[in-house]
Formats: sequence, C-alpha cells, structure tokens
Amino acid sequence: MEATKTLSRNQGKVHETRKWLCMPYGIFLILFIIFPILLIFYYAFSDPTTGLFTLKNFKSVFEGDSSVTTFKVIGQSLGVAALTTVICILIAYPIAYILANSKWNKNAVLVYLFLLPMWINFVIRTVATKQLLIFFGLDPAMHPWVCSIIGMVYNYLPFAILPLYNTMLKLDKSQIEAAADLGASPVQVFIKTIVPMTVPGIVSAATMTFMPTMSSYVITDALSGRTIKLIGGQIEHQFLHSQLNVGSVYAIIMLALIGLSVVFENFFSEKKKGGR
Amino acid sequence: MNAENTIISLKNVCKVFDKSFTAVDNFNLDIKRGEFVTFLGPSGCGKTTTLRMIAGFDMPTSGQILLNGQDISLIPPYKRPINTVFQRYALFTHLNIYKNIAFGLQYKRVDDLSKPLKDKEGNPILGENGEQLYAKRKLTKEEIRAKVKYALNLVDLEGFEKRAVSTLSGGQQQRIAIARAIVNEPEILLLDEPLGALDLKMRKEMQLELKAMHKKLGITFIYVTHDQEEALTMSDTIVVMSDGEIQQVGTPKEIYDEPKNAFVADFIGESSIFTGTVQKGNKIKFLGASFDSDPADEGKFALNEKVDVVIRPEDVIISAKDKGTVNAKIVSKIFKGMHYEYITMVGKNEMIAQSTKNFEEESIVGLSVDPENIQIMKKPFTSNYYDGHLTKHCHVSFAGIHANFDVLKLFPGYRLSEEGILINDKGEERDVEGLQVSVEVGFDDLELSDDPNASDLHGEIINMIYLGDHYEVTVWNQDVDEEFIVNTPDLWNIGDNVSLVIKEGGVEVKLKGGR
Repeated sequence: MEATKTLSRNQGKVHETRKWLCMPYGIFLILFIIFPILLIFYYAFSDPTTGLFTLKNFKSVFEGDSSVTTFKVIGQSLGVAALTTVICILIAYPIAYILANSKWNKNAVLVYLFLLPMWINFVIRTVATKQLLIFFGLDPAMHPWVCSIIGMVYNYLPFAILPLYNTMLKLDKSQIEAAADLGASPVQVFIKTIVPMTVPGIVSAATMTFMPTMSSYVITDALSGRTIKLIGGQIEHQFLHSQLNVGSVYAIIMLALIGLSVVFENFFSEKKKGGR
Repeated sequence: MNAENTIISLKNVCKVFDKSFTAVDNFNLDIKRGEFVTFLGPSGCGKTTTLRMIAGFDMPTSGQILLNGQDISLIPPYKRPINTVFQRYALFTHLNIYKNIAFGLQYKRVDDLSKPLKDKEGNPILGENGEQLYAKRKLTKEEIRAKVKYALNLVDLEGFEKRAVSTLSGGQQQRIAIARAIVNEPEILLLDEPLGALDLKMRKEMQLELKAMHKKLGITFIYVTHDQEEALTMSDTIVVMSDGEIQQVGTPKEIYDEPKNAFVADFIGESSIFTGTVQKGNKIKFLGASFDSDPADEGKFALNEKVDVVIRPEDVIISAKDKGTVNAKIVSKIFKGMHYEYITMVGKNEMIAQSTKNFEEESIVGLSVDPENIQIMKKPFTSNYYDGHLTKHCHVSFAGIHANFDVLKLFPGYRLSEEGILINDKGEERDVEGLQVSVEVGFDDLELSDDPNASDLHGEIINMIYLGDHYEVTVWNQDVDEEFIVNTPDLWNIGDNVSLVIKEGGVEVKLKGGR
C-alpha cells in the first residue's frame, strides 16, 4: 500500500512539473495572439479622441460612399483568393499526381524542384516576377488582374502541391485497379475513385492557399500597380495613416472572413467523414 | 483439348520486370469453361503476376492470352469480361455497400430488345451467327437494384446496402468484394488469395461457400493461393508453380498421388523424399533395401538411374520388427486425433509415417509400402552443369572461379612441363587458353562452409528440400548469377551466406565441339 501511495505521489509531482513546460507557449499566446486581438477589438469599438465605447468606426466603414470601397475591397480580396486557390489546385493536382508516381519521379528529386522557389524570399521573387512579366510584354499597369493572379499562383503553388502530393502518395492503388477491373475507363476511374480519395488533400490545399492569399497584399500591390486593393492593403494603409480605429475594423472583417473559411473547411471534412 | 471448351488460353506468356527479373517464364495453359482452376505455389513464384496479366493490370512481355480465341493481351482491364476479387478486398471506402456493388453495373451495357438494329432499308442487321443485333443501353435503376439485392443474397449479407465499408468485419468485406465482382456476371472470376486475411474457421467456411458459389454460377474461377490444403479442397484443376514456371497441372488427386517432381511432392502435403536407384525386375532400391515398385512405372526409367522416391506418411505400413521391408526405430510419436504420426529412422534416413495403431517410442518396427504407393520421379539432374573455359595454366574457369582439374585426362598423350604447359612426347606445346569446355560438378562434390575464407565461391541459400537422409540445398551466387546445388547432411537456413568448397577431383571437364 505504502509503495503504491508514494508511486502515485511521485506521478503527481511529474504532472506538476510537466505543467510548467507549456508556460513559454502560454506566454507567447497571451502576448502575441490574445493581447493583440483584444487591442484590435478595443480600438474598433472606441472613440479615437475620448477612448469611450462607440460604433462610429464601423459606421464610417459601412456607411455612404465608403461602404462602396469597403465592399469592393472585400469582393476583390475574396475574388483574388478564390481565383488563386482554384487555379493553384488545377495546376497542382496533375503535378502532384505525377510527383507521387514513382514511375516518373524515382527518388523524389522532382518534388524539390517544385518546392525550390520557397527558398527565396517572396518579396524578391515578386519583384523578379514583375520584371519577367514586363520582359514578356505583360505590363502590370495594363493588366493588373492577370499579372496579380500569375504572381499569386506562382507564390502559393507549392502550398497546394505539398498536401495534394502527400495524399496521393497514400492512394490505395488496389482501389484504382478495382475500378478499372469493374469496367471504368481511365477517365471514369479518375472521377469515381482518384478524386474522391484525394478530397482530404484538396481541402487542405484549398485552405493552405485561400487563407494566406486572403490576407496578402504585397504581391497584388507590386503586380497591379496598386490598382487592386485588398483588405490587407487597406489595413496597412489605415495603420500607416494613424487611423488605428478604422484599421482595426478592417482587421475584424478579415478575421471574420477567415473564420468563415475555417467553418467551411470543417464542414467539408465532416461531410467527407459522414459519407464513409 | 477441345478448342470450343477452352475459355482462356495462355500461350508462351513471359513477364520480365525491369528487364532482369523474370516473374513468369514461358507459361502455357488452357482453361476450360466453368472450371475451378487454382494457381498454387510459394510466394514469389509468379502466380499473382499471371493472374494480373489475365486481369489486364500487367501486360505480358511476350506471348499471348487468348479469351475465346481472341488475343486480349493488350486490351485494358476495363474492356475485359473478367472481374477480380482482390487480396485486400480493395472496396471503395468513400462509397457505401450498395454503391460498391453497383459500381461495375453502371458501366455495363446490355442489348436493348426494343431497339433491334436495322440498316437504311429497314432490314435487320444480323451478327456473325445470324442472330438479331440490338442497340445497347444502360441498366435501369430497378435492374441495378435487383442485381445488387441478388448478389447480397448470394453472399448472405441481405440488408447491408446502406452500411459503410469501415463498419464491416474482414469476412464481411471479403463477401462484399466477391459480390461486387460476380454481380457483373463476368466470364471469368479471378480470386487473388481472397481468404488470406481471414481466420482459420472463417477460411474453411468461405472455402465451402466459394465452391458452392462456383457450382451455382457456372463461371470459370481462377484462384491464386499458397495454401495447398485450400487448393486441394476447392479446385477442379491445380497448377503448381515455382520460379515462374509450371511444375505440374492436374486434378487435386493427381497432384497429390502422382507428383511429377520433388518440388511438387514437397510442397503438396507431407512426404518423405529419398534418392533411389532403379534396379532389375521392376525394383527400386532406397533406404538400403529393395522395394517392389509400381508396375505402372515399369520401363519408364533406365536401369541404375538415380531417381527421387516420394512416400506419403499415410502410405507407410508399420508392422512388427522384421515383418516389413526395412526395420526402423521410432524416434518421435505425436497423437493427431485421427491417428498417430511417427518419425522413424531407417539408418540415417528419416521417414514420416502415420498409423492408427499405437507403437512405443524407441521401439524397432518394420516398415513397408505398397508398390503403387511408391512414387518414383525423374531427378531433374544430379550434377551442376556450367559453361567454362580453360586458362593458361591449365585451370578451368567457370561461374566466376578458377578450379584445378586433371587436365591430362582431357589431352591424352600430353604431359605437363615444369612451367605448367602441356607438352606431348614430340615436344610440341599445346596452348589451351580460352578453350570452351562444359563443367560438371556433382551435388555430392560440393561442401558448404560458413567460414567466408574457406573458398572464393560464395552464395546465398535460396532453397532447401529434405531428402530423407540429407538436404538438397540450392546456393545462388549473385555476382555471376549462377546456382549451385549441394547435397549436405547438415541443416542450414534459407538466406544464409555460405562458402562453397569443391572436393578434390570433384570437377569434371569436357571439351566442347569435339576438339
């Protein structure tokens, strides 16, 4: 009895000490995530001069002429993000399929070839992209959308390839063979078995590209001559001009949009599980 | 074989992977309509590769596969009227049971009896045999539902339509996999070790059910397994395979009672295998005694020919001491329920025997075997043969090594000079370098050693057959890709790396081309 008692007491001590291991993360969480968010909410709901509670900041963003700009910015952000995501997945899917096939990609060297651009700073990459596009006769000032999307897709393609590649490595080959065996032509095999089996990869590839493209603005700024305004850019603009309160409102809008996309993602992966 | 009765025939089919590994070597087989054929062999013998070529997942490197006389070797799997039950079931995890079974039906096309094909003048278009041809249509939803229900009924899983694959046990998944294949009414059903993942009791049950299903459906079944009991239970015809080649084709009874070679005898059922010598008067000498051999075997073997002798344990008759053909000492006795299994020693040879009678361990008994139960088989060969050439100093080089041999035997009238050069009486030298020879090394002329420095010849043990008083061990040398077969009294392990020592005078050399 005595022995077991001491044992459990010792175990308790281990648990006590282990608790402290999460301290650094706790401090980080409070300092850099919870505190800034609280600060944003404080600014968004307070008067710039008096510091008292007000809805004035929201009104200034969603009322009259400024609401047109706001919705345009939100629309453009969603548009750029959605377009980039769709194009990224369309390009990444066949690439990932080829990379995951050992026939074409014997020791996985090709994977590194596609991930190599990630090793270069993305600002440098974007500036280089701009020069390259101009060299090919695509002036960002003349074709802001085309150039922006090209830049975005180029930057976020690796984020779409990686999750798809990982799912395709684990594809159940025998299910593919079974489908062919049961009379499905190669196209039908692809639609009926390969695509459903890669849904988890598609969902995470979509999240991995949609969320960062929603908030990024440096690439579009550089490649559209600042004609395409995204939420990220709007926040930067407000904060640079000491409009902390209005900037915070934009930050909350972005938070909400990203929150919504997470809900969507969960919904899709839940549905996937339910269908099993 | 009647060509009309043959549903599929494989002609000289070879499959080579990566240009070097031959998985299937010159496979020839005709399979009759409605037959239950089993490909039986140890893992890696090419049985699954053969099945995959019939299904269309692998293309033969050379040779033809004829289905109803039509070459289908290059037709993709989805165009073949053949369905497969996979080893790991391969059910679609994203679909429920109903959709899994209906999967193949959605691609099936049947004759639309309401739309007979007509040419421009309105005359009916007839097929090759003068029958009316019809336009093709998809199956209706009701038809699919009825077929799925029938298939589920057949595998005893009624009411499982809405279930998810992950909620099923292994045995149930196996049944669904079978239902999914047979619902398409294929001409041939391929089964790739379908019961391998089930427990023993379930396996026995499914064996009988599959057999019953085969009877009921009348479809040709091609079944792949490494389980000899399963093959014997279920098949009409067994194809025993080893190293990508067919060893024997026959009914289960033929395969069991009359194995063609030592491999088949060793693989199918339990047996004692000995080396025997054919004697005059239809007798065979083994275990140091002369046995009467099967009258049916008379004249099939040359006098004094070395042969493999196979005795099944249940064919050994145990009697009192000196009452049998040979005396043996019982060294072990195991009660097996129906009978006792005895391991007996006849001198240094081991013989397994079964009997319902009770004998004491350590006692001496007489053993005899009815002549028709003594299986005599040609030994594939009793020596290793290699191509080699002579070197400057009258050594022979073969299989990557140099060996001494009695060179004077090859060149009568010559003698060796002090420099090791052949000289005849007239003082003429003879240059033997590069002469092509064939080299024979008897199984008994080689010794195995686990000392890596014992010789220059090394290899890995890849096969081992127990032949009563010794093991016949196959050693493979990777560098020169040559096999050496060695008789040894010792037990080694497959996969051991060993050195091969050639006994003094063990190398026999013959000149090629009569030079």
